[in-house]
Amino acid sequence: MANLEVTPLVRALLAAVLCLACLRESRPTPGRLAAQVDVIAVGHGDSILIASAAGKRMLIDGGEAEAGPVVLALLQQRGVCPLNLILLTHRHSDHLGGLASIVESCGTKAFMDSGYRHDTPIYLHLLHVLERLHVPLLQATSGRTIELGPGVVLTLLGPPQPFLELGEAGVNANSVVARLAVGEVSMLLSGDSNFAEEEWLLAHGLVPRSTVLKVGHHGSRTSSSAAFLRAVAPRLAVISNRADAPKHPHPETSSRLQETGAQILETGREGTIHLDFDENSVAFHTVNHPKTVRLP
Amino acid sequence: MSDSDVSLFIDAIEDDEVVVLLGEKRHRLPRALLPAGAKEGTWLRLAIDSSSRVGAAIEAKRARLVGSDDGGNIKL
Repeated sequence: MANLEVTPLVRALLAAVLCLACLRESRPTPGRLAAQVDVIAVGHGDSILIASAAGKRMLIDGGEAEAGPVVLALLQQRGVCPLNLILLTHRHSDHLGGLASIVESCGTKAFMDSGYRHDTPIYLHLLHVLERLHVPLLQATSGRTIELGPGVVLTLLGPPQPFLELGEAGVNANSVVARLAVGEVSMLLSGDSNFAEEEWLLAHGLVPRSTVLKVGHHGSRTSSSAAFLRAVAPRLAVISNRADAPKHPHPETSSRLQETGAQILETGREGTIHLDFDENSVAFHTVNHPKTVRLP
Repeated sequence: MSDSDVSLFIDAIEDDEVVVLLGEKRHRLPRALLPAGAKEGTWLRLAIDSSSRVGAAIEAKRARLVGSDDGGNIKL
């Protein structure tokens, strides 16, 4: 058998083949389901489950304390306990309240938040639970990535660095904002970010086009600026709200969202909204409209 | 009490809830929040407590829990 001489050319060819193999490995299989997202109907608040086909699952926020059992029931129904990670966008009770009971009953291998101060006793209780269960706490910083499987990557865009100090509006303005990319499609998860944080993200080139937008702060008047929405250019906008909330979404925000041409869904009207992501398309159905719709 | 103090008036105590008046507007609070000795007709004063030990406890505990995080990218 002739010896293969390892010339620079052969070495370069081998490197190219390996590189292509890596690229194939880092992309989801075309047409095959790569990730599922549930925007859970928790009333006023946020709770979003991301589960990849690779079997990794994370929860973003846990709604109010009263919503904990609702979220837990869905997690158990989906068979995703224990979670790999819980990400808290900020320490307001409608995002934080349900998490301690979820950590205790479902379990999680890690917990992440930004560290922006809001000295609520609910958060102190959560820290007690994390410590007792030996759950490591991770720092959410802009630029950090979380890989949930081949080609399924959540990139943290916010909070701003350094934190924006805006007095009474500081907690929302320092929300963790993240973008889930699944091949060519994506979802921007904007926590309760407001105009100030949106401006920071825009100024730093951190508002990429995204197929789906989880609308900031339940559709409040002080989130989702026209400039921000133009940059995101969503095809689907999802609002996590309560059915009878008079200001969520605010009429001005609804108007700005409608101008994008995106289809708009509200958990308050639809119940939990389920999204299926494959490499190049997104389909959804809701509790109240179970027929699957594929985004154009 | 200065004019700038914010005060709540306990208008009614109903089972687990208490109805308080802020000005002429009614609000409901959990009864468990009432300080000892409060009853219908009592005035409650709201004040900023900048010496709260909760904040210091949170920061200390969080710093301890986040101590081993290297801040790098994560593969679940």
